Amino acid sequence: MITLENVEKSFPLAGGRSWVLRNVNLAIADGEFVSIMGPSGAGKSSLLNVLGLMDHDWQGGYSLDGTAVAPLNAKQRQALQRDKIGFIFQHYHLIDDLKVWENLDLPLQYRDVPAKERAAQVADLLDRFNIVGKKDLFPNQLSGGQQQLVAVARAVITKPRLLLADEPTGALHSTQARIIMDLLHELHRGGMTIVQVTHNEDYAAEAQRIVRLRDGWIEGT
Amino acid sequence: MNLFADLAPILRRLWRERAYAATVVLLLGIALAANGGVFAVLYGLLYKPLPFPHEDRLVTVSARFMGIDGGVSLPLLDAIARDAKGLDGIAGFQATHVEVGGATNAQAASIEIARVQPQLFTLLGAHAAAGRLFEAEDAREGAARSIVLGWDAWQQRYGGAADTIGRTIDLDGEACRIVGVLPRGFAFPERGIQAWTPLVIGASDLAESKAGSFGDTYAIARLTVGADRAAVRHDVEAVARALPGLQRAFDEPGRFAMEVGALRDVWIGEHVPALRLMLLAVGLVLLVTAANLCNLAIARATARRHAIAVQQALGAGRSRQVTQAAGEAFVLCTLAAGLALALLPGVLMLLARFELLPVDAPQAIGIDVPTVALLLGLAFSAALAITFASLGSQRGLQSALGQSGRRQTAGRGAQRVRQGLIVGQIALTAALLVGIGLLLRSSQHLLAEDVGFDRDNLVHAGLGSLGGRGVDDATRIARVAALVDAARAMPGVVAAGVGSQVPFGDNVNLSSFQPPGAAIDGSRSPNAYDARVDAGYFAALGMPILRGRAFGDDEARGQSPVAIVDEGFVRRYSPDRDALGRTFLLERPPLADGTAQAPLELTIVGVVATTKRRGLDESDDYATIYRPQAAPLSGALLVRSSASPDTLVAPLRDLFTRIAPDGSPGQIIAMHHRIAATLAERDRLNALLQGLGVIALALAVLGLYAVLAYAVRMREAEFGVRMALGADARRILRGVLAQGLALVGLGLLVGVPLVVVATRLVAARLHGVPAYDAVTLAGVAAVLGTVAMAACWLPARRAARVDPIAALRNE
Repeated sequence: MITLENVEKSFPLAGGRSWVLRNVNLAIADGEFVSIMGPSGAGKSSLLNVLGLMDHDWQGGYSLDGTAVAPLNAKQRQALQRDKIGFIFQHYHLIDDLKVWENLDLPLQYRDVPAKERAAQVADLLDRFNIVGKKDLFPNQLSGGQQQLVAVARAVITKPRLLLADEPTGALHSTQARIIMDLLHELHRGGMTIVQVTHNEDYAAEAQRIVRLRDGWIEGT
Repeated sequence: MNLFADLAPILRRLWRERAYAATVVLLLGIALAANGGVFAVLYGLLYKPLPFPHEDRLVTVSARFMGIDGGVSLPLLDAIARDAKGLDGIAGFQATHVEVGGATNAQAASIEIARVQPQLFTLLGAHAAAGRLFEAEDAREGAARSIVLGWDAWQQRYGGAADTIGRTIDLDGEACRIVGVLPRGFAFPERGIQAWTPLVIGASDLAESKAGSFGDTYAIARLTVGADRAAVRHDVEAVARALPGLQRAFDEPGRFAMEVGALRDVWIGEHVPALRLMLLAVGLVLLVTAANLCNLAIARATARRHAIAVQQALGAGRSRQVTQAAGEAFVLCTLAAGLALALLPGVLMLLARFELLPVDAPQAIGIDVPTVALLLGLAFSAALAITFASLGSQRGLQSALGQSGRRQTAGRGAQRVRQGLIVGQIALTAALLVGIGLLLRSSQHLLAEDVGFDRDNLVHAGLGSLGGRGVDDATRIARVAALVDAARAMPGVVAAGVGSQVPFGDNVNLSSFQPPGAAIDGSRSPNAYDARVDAGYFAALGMPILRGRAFGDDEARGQSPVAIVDEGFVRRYSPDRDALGRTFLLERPPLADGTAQAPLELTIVGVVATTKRRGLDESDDYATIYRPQAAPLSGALLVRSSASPDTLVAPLRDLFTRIAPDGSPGQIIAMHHRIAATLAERDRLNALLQGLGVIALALAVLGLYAVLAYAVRMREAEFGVRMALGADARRILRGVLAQGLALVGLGLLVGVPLVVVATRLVAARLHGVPAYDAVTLAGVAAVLGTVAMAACWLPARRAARVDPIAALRNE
C-alpha cells in the first residue's frame, strides 16, 4: 500500500539545515494496522503529513497504492488524496457551524457526490456508528468522545483505502479512547489500512506493527 | 474609582496601539467635522437669531411672479405702507453698484451700495456709530444727496477719521455728503454693501403705469405685536389687488401672488434643501463610520479576550472591564471631537467653495454653541456605541482561557453583531448611492433635454450697456447694427443675429395678446414671451422655420406688423387651423406719460419650435411671439461659428470694446457653457454628494473587508480541515466569496426601505428620471456588488492559500 524510499525532509536554518525526516524507508502492506511512536519532535506528524499527501516538500520516493507520488502535480496529488485517504485528528476538527450530519456530508460534497446518494450514505453511517440521535446537534453539544466518533465517521464516509489518525485518542479519557480504538479495529477488520500516531504504548501495541522515530530516523519496527 | 489611576493604563494602551487609536480618531473626527460643518450652516441660516431687535417680527414683503421673487414696485410699496394692516412699518431698498470717484485717498472704483428708505434703519434697530442715519428729509425729492458709510468702508477709505462726517464723496458723478457711519458688523441686505444712500421716491415713480415694474425694489416690514403673518399676507394681497395697474396680474391663477416671509428668507434662498440633503448624507456617512468603528472595537476586544480573561481570573471585576472599555472609547471620541472642531473651519471653507455657505447673511455663520454641543453629543453617542460593542464581545470570557492566543474567537453573538453592522452599512450606503445616482441621472437628463435650438458652436454675447449716460438711443441702435455686421464678417462665423430675449438670456418680457379669432370682449388676455429679433436671429440660433418664412431685413428695419410664433402658440391658440396668415392683437403698455397705446395687429408669417427660456427643467409655460426688429437695445448677440465657440469669445469682447468703448458688454460665453451654468448649483451639490457617496462606499467596503479578513484568519484551521477532507482551493475561495456576497445581498435587501426613503427625499429634485429608476437601482447594486466582490477577493484568496499543515499545527 505504502512504500517510502529514502524520504528526507529538512528546513534551511542559519548555519545548516534542520532535519525532520532522515532517510526514511518504510513499507506498509495493504490492510495493515501500523502505529508510529516517538518523542515530541521526532517527526511523527511530519511523516503522517507526507503519507497523507498534505506535505509536498520532501525528497525521496513515495508510492501510494501503486502510484508514484513524486511526479504528480498538486491537482493530481489532491485527487489521489481524495480517492484514497481519510484523516482523523487529535482535536477532532469538526466544523463548529455545521451539524453532525452536515459534517459527515462535507467530504462527499467535495467529491461531487449527488445529493440523494450523499443523504443515503450519511444515513447509513449515522446508523452504523450509532449516532442517529445526534445528527442534528452541533459539535459543541457533543462530548469529546462523541466528537471523535463523528470525526472517525467523517473520515471513513468516503471509504478510503488508507486511514491516517494523528493521536486519535490523545484528547479523550480512557473509556472514550477505548471506544475509538475498538472502532479502528473494526475498520481494520473491514480491510482498511490504518496508520496511527500515538504516545500511548498500550494503544500502539494494539496495532500489528510499531514504527519508532527519533530525530527523524526510523529506529526500528 | 480613581480616575487618574485608571486613565494612565488606558492612555498607555492606546499609545501602544497607536494605529487603532489614530484610525478611530481620524475616521470619527472627519465624519464629525462634516456633520458639524453642514449643521453649522443650517443652524446659522434657519435658527440663529438675526442681529436685529425684534427679529422674529421682521418680514419680507414681495410679489412672486412665475415663481420668481420680484420684490415690490414703488406704487405697491407706497400702497402697502399706507393701507395694509398688521404692519408696524415697512421700508423699501435697492441694491446696486455705483462708480465712486473723487474721494480722498481713493481711486475710482465700483462699489456695492444700497438705496434705502430712512425708516429701514429704524426697523433694523440700527444706530449710527458716528454722525447720524437718514431722516425723512434726506429721501425727499430734490433734497441734497447724502450717504451713510459702512464701518469697513469708513476704516478703509478714511482710516476711521472723525472728520469724515460732512465730507463729500462722488457717486456716479454726483456729490454726496457723508452724514454718518454704521457700526461695525452691520450688514444689510448683503455683507458686501459698503454704503447706503436714501431711496428717493418721486411722484412719477408712483404713477399707475409703474405699478407692474418689479425686480429692482425689495421691502422689509415689522409685524405689529401679535399679528399673524398669514393674515398680513392676505391683507397685503388685498391691497395689491386693489392697486390700479396691478389687478390684471392676478387674472391668471397661480402666476402672481404676494408673499410675507420671515426676514431670514432673504438669505436662505435655495441653500436649505441642498443643505438638508447634505446633512442627511453626512449623517449617513457618520452612521457608516460609527458602524465601522464598532466593528473595529469588537475585533480588538476579541483579540484581547485572553488578556482580559486573565485579569478577571486575577480578581478584576466587571466594573473594571466597563471602566477600561468606556475610558478608551471616551478618550478616543473626545480626541475625535477635538479634531472635528479643528477641521470645522476647513469644512466651512469647503462648503463656501461649493457655494453652499451664504456669504451675504448678516448673522455670522460659523462655529456656534449648538454646533459644538452637537459635535460633543455625537462623539458621546459614538463612545457609548463603541463601549457597548467592546463589552458585548467580552461575554463568556471563561472560555477564552481555554483558547490559544491565535484563535480568540468572539463567539457567534459577536460575529453576528459584526455581520449585522456590515449589513447595516451596506444598506445605508445603498440608500445614499441610490439618492446620489438619481440626482446624477437627473442632471444627465437635464443636460440632454431638447432646448429647441442647436446649442453647439454658438456664442451668447450679452449686449450689456451699449454706452455711457451721454449716448442716445440712435447711437446705441447703430452700435447694435455695427456689432451684428462686424460679427458676421469675423472669420469662422457662420451666422449672427440679435434678439431682445434669447434662450437662457438675462431678459424675460411677457406681453398680453388676444389670440387669433378671439372675440374682443374684454375677457382675460393670455400672456406670451414677446421677443424682438432681427432677420438673422433664427439662422444664428440654429432654429429651422418649421412653416412659413423668416423675417426679411426690411421687415426687421421697419418693424413690420408680422410675427413668427412657436409651436406652443399654435398648439394653444390655433390648434384647428393653419396659423400662417392669421392675425392677432398684441397689447402694448401705456407710454411713460401714461397714455394708453392701441393693440398692435400682427400677421403670423412663420412657425418655429418651442425653446427652453430660463432653465432646462422648465415646463412649457408660455407661448413665444417673435417680432422683427433690426437692433433691439437689450438682449444678446448670438454668433454661430464653424469651429469651437470658445475661440470667438476673446475676439467678440474686443469687438464690443471697439464699437462701444464707453459701454460694458454682458456675458460672452459659449451657449453650452451658459446652459450648463444653469445646473451649476445642482452640479456643486452633486459633486459634494458624490464625494460623500464614495466615502460611504469606501467605509462600507473597508468594513466588509475587515470582517471577512478577520473571519478568514479565525477560520484558517477550519479551511485546513476542509482541505484535508478534500476541498480544493477554488471551493474554499467560492465559499468565502459567497459569505461576503451574502452579507452584501442581505444589506441590499435590508436597504430597500431606506432606498424608498431616499427616493422620496430626492424626488422633488428629479427631472426625467422616475424615483424608482431601474438603471440607477441596478447600477447601485452592480457598483456595490462589484466593489464588495473586490473587497471579498483578498480574504478569499488568503483562505484558498491556507497551508493545511500550518493551519492545523497552529491549533
